[in-house]
Amino acid sequence: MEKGELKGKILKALEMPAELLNNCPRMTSVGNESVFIENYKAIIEYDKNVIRISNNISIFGENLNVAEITTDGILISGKIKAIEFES
Amino acid sequence: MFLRNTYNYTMGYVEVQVEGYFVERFINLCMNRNIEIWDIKRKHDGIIEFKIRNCDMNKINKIAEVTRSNISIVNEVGIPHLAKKYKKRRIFFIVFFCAILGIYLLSLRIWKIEIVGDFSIPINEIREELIQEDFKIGVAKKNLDFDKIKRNIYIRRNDILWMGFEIKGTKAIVEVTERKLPNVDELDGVPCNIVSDKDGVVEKILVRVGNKMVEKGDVVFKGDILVSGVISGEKIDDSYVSSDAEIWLKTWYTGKVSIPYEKDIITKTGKIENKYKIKLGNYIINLSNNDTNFEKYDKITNIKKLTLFGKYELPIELVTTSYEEYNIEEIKITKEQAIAKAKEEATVIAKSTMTANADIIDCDYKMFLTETTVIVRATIECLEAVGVKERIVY
Repeated sequence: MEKGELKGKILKALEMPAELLNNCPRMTSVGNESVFIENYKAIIEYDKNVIRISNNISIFGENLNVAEITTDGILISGKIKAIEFES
Repeated sequence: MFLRNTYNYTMGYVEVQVEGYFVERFINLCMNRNIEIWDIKRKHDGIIEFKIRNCDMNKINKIAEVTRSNISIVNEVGIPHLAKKYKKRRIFFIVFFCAILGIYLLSLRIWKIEIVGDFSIPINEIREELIQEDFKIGVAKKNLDFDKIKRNIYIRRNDILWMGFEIKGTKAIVEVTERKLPNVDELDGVPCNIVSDKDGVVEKILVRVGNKMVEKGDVVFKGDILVSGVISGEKIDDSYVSSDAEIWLKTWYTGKVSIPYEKDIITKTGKIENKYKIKLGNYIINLSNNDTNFEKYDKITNIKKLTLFGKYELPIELVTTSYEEYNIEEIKITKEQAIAKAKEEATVIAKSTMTANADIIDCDYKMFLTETTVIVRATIECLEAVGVKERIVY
């Protein structure tokens, strides 16, 4: 049994949130106005029409702004058109 | 959110523009070093604008060196920046706060005392009573104990029934209600005479207590004793009583009027001539011919001073002289008309001298006719109650 597998099983048994397992980002979006991303690592690209975040997430839209940024999360506001995952 | 905004405003924050090729890296480095930034806006390629706390400003300078970007301050917001901006005007702010403090301190005291109410006590007496209780202009409001003031004044003054205090800002309104003492007859029960206060003939005299001094038909003058309070007898000592009586006198009032048969009556013809002059200091400029064609006229001069803005008088006067023409007509009235008019006027004059409570019994007219005038004397005969109590001094 691998190390990650055991951790996953324990978390599943305790009904813990999945994002704790593999540090994947958790996103909360309010309509198409804003997205709040937790567990991000860094900003890779910041442009008016696209914001790329290190966990292979791209957010496309118009007039995108970073309204808030802390070590825990990033709040992106603007007219959001698409959220894309690259793998 | 609101709390954070308030905190940021009180601590002060800076709007910063960063220009460089690696702005993303700049943001990431800020995050790594726990520098809080917010409201990040992308301006153009390679230019971002964000807000940062005052205390973090020197930290981002190092980051800027690493990322090779330029930092420029766009705007400074918050109380520390305001304080820096107005440092030069600190005297103004000190004086401003002193003034507010001064107004506050002055508002703690009473600066005007208004005494209201329907009373006949001299207002200065009430003011003195209040001053005795330390209630005067300049007294601190918190030191006032209205109940105590009221109590002490009620004890001292018999004629004050009630006092109400009201404070409106720095003005105190004192309401006073007077105790209306019953109007006691001072001479009730005290030995006294009754004297006449009018000239006349005694018509009726009714004595309840006292010694009757006059009879019906006697002529009395002002000041005569009508009823005496001294009762004396041959065998007993003098005793003194408080006289009580009702006395009615016949009195007369006259009025005299003379009316001529011929009389001038002035009627205005309605023709008016206006002349204008301007007076400049002592110089007079005539604007029109000053003579008038009227034979008989009234001359009315009206001087109007010119003013600037309705306030400042100028040494220029506009003099308007208007002549109003009139005619004199001689009218004649008959003897009967003159007599009737004279009677009427004489009665009015006689009545005006009468006392209010007198009853008119009769009215008599006497006429003297001369060649030019008629003279009428009206005599009104009245019946009136008289008598004033006068203390006996013994």
